[in-house]
Amino acid sequence: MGAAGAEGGATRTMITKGSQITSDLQLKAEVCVIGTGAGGAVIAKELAEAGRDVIVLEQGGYYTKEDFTQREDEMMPLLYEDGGQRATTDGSLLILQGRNVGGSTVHNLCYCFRTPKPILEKWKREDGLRDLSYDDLVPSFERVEKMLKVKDIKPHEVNTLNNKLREGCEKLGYHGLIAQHNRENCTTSGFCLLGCPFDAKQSMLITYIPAASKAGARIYANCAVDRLVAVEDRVRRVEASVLDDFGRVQHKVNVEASLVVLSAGAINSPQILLKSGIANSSGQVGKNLHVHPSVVLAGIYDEDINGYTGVPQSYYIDEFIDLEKDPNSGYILMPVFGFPVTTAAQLPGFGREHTEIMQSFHRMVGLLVLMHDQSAGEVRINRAGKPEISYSVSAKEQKLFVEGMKHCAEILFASGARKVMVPYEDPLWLKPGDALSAVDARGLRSNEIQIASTHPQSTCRMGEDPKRSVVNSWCRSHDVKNLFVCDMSVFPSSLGAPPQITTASLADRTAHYIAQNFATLVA
Amino acid sequence: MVALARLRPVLAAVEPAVGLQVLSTGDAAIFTAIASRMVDSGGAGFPKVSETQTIHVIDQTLLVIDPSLQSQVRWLLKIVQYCPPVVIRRLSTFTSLSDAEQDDVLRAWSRSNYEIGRLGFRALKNLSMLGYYSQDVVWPFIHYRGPWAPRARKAARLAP
Repeated sequence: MGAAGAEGGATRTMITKGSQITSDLQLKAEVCVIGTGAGGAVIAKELAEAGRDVIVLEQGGYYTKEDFTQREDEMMPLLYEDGGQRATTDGSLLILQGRNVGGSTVHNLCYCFRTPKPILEKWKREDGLRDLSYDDLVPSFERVEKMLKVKDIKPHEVNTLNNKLREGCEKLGYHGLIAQHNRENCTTSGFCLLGCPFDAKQSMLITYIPAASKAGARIYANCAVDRLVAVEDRVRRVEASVLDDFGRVQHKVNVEASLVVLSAGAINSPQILLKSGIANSSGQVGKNLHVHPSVVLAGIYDEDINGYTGVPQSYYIDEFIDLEKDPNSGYILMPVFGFPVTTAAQLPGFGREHTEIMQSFHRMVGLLVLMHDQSAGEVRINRAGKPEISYSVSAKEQKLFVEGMKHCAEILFASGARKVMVPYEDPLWLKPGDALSAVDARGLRSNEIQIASTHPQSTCRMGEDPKRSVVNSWCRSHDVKNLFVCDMSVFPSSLGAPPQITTASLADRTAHYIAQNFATLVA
Repeated sequence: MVALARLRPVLAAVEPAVGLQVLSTGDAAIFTAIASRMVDSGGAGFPKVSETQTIHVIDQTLLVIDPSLQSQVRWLLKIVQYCPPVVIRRLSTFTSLSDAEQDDVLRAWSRSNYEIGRLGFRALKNLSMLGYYSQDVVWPFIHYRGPWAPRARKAARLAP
């Protein structure tokens, strides 16, 4: 048939790589899943285990622990969209997303939080999602957490960087907690961002994907979906291109499926729908982009921190977000670190001053403000069909960012930092005792400070009103009856928490719904 | 065994296994000048860009990104090379300027009133940092220990 599968990893996952496809392919399946991240991988496994004939298409490559060399220059092009350079068209916001079998779960930092109850209540109240209460989701939470081996982070796994920040918060009386994570037998090597070379991280790559494969799902890597071809209110065919290592089209793959699940993420899912010209009678596809924008402050200490060693993120500061009180506002503070290349690229300036900061690389602690954003951007497509992303932080949230940056500086100083850098392109350096009002004066202006996102969401949002949403509360398209969208793009609003468990649990719930109603859905 | 696994061989700069795949020799000379200013260490004794595989890593990175971006980067290099008369009113190419003048040019790009200018600077900075700080020989100067379980570098790619 023009393709030979590859065995990978100890679990003997059968995945066909693009290089193994030697001619155009015409495939048939009951279900075609597009994407293998926290949404697609769960859907594929659950439906394959329910006895459905499943084909999975993933635009990125298939890499296993043997490929993860812990080198940024080698891993960023393999594991990240645009080699880690995906950004808004004005360059003001960097968006880090996975592009490989397993999606962003391969490079994420393993925070595991259930969907906040007040957010689900807000979605019920404002978007009519009556079938999506916390209690409705509990069976899915439990299945996902069991599969991902979610557990408390143990005290000895909390690294120096996180302990420093905990000390600072405790001195100031700020609330924080040690989070849960999905690692098993972690070596605490700290290279999670570049793919786990020990298979300790329980990403989709080593959990749901092998299980899907074992249950019979046929998984094709390096297959980028060009468009969904619909006739009347049904998708009839998925058209994809097989790409080589240089992004060149080698062959075409067409999949005829009775049901299609789009799980390509909050940028690529709307891109595919817009290119296909379907599922958009509401005009909401690509709109409402929330990103959890973040800004990192760096503290420099006298002692060695080596923040890149140990579990990178374990402490979580939730003092400045109270979703019970206000589900539409607030921010989280999270420890962060970088390897040399990402640190150097994120630090402001260049030349001698920049290099001097890099000489303190081992004594640096990063603390980021992650905004529960109501600001909204948009994903459009250009003439070539590629996504063009726009996003700007609202005036209200600019003020909140300034407040958050001041709290970061306060915590860094309380934990022993001898100076703190606010990363404006012309950096602001603060010493202990300096007035933090200097941050007020500089504010937060686009392109004057590095803003990044790892959580784009809400571009195909759920809702019961077809005029205001793209899919219903079961992630089914309002317009195209055999199309589901299931990834972070369906969140009706900013989640206000790390999204891995929510995405996977929504997918689990959707998969069970599809499995139970398959005959009706495809009739 | 753990300690053994964490030992990282000291690697000297070696000749790349393959030649440049995207950048021309002229492009490489311009990029070497730009990257040298981006990572200037003054008297701190860091390895020079020309003593490392910085340009080779940049070239390999360009090889696997969107082909349209490859040509944009090559155009950007040409613009930087010939922009000094406009940007700092010096009738010279970028590579012929003094270090201080080259810094003035890059600073002007970084503070440009035009979005495209700032984006261009950001692209050149990111690529320079990627090329330079991925070098094993640079890591001791920033006290970075490198991979926890070192593995051989991936083989260089050849352009299709």
